Amino acid sequence: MMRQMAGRYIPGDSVLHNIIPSAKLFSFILIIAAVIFTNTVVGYGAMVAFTVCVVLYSNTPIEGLIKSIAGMLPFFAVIFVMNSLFYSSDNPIWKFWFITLSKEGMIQGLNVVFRIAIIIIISGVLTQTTSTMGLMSGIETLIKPLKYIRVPVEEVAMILSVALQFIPTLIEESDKIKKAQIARGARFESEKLSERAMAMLPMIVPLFLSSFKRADELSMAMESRGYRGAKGRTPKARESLDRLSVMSIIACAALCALEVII
Amino acid sequence: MSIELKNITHIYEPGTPFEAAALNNVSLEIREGEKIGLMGRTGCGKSTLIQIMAGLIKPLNGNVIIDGIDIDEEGYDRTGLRQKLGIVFQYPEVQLFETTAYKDVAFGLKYSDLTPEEKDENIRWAFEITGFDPDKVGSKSPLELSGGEKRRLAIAGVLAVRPKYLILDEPIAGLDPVAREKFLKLLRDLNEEGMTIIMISHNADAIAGFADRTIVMSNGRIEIEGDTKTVFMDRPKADEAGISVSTAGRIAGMLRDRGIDVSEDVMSESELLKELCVHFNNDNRSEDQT
Ligand SMILES: Nc1ncnc2c1ncn2[C@@H]1O[C@H](COP(=O)(O)OP(=O)(O)OP(=O)(O)O)[C@@H](O)[C@H]1O
Ligand SMILES: [Mg+2]
Repeated sequence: MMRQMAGRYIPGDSVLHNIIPSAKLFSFILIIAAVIFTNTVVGYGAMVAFTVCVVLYSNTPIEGLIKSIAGMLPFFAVIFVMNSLFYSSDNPIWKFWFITLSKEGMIQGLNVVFRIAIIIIISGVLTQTTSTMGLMSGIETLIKPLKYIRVPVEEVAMILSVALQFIPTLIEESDKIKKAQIARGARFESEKLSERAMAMLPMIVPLFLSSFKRADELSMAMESRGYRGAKGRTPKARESLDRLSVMSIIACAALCALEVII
Repeated sequence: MSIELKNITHIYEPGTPFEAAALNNVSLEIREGEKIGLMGRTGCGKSTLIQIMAGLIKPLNGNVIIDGIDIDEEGYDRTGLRQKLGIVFQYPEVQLFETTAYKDVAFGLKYSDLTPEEKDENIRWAFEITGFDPDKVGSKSPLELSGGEKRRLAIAGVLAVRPKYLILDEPIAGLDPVAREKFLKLLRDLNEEGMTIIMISHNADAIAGFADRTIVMSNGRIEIEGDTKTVFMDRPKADEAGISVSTAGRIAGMLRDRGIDVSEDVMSESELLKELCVHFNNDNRSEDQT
């Protein structure tokens, strides 16, 4: 059910799989910046071309991406309608009370939808080509400079990695609990909102209890194996920047520069 | 009245890189009043099969027919299904969530048509049959109970609706031998009262001592099916499907090797005991005569 989430890591050997995680994350940040700066027709063209390349180089199943975008369509529709109706414009096509339908508003709506769609696709590709461990080490490398302003970087990384590794277990657990309660006659699809909140209790309470239990067990397991905070741990072997990773950063930086300039 | 599975095929997450075939064209009929043992190696599809039976997973292909009606039919009474088919998952204690034990056991009766008095009667029965005193334990928080008690309470919660069919996924894993025996006795008592019971277990002793009929699965198919004794006696096939000889069967074999005449088809402890009694009584009698 929830296991089918788009963006789950799919092991592979594509070009994107082989970029080292920290470089990939950094490239991702550059692309986000580029998306934000995009505002000309040429810019949009470049962005679309770039996204197509990224998808092709990642060997991601196209249907999955289409599905995740299709799932967002109602949301996109709302954004578009809101923007086209409430954009304050000087030459509206149609005006009624506080509603102003305008061409500028519609363009603005398309803009926002476009940006969100690109970001969804790119982040989907990122998580599909990077393992959880990879993401973690990437984040750890990128936030390392924060050490100089006294941020406990190793601890933050450890917390994130523990949290991330628990997600699949939690999903599995919640699936199991949900089935058990449905079998006992629980109804999760009640009509009234207040009832629906109550109806979720049979799921939420056991999930909390088992998470606390798990956290407890994990902390004991970590302590019994001698974990005493990140200080003094042997640092992980650093992945060195290879040519592919440098090229990825350069390409993304170039795209970003292009979008800023035009 | 029966549960009927017709040509069930199931694949998890079809069409994705995570595709996992779980069941391959499984057909099966379970009649009312039976005690069924379901065995097979890890990952052979047992849990998937029972969840499909209970209508919790919709199979990719095939039909589930309970008491003559296909459960995927338009307008099928799901609430009714929940009242007549109970399922106890592995480690059911995770499903406890209410503030008191009584409320938790009562949860399954929320949508039932029974009167409050009848509900209370059912709840008390469920407490008592699982070895609790409803007046003592009812007001306690489930969190105050020990691990074993929590499991029994969760089972009481499933039993409270007095299901006609009871399905259990490895209910005895992790129980001590005394608790296990007690639990199997509870299942036998429930069956005496007319409850149909389907139990998954890796424990050959438990299945040999409990089930009338045993189904052995392998790689998403039913590999062997039949009378428990026949299934366990067919050693070549059973070994291939990973079903070991029960302890009683093994002891009987050892006794035979040492020249004590125990019949070949001893499977369960009670049968072994019976054989030994007959044997020793005969010995005594022959000594008396001389
Ligand atoms: N939710 C799921 N998503 C994807 N695959 C699954 C899921 N549940 C089970 N499977 C796969 O389906 C197959 C059958 O699993 P199932 O849980 O039915 O086995 P089982 O016989 O109950 O095993 P066990 O004795 O270990 O409990 C396995 O290969 C398993 O990996
Ligand atoms: Mg199982």
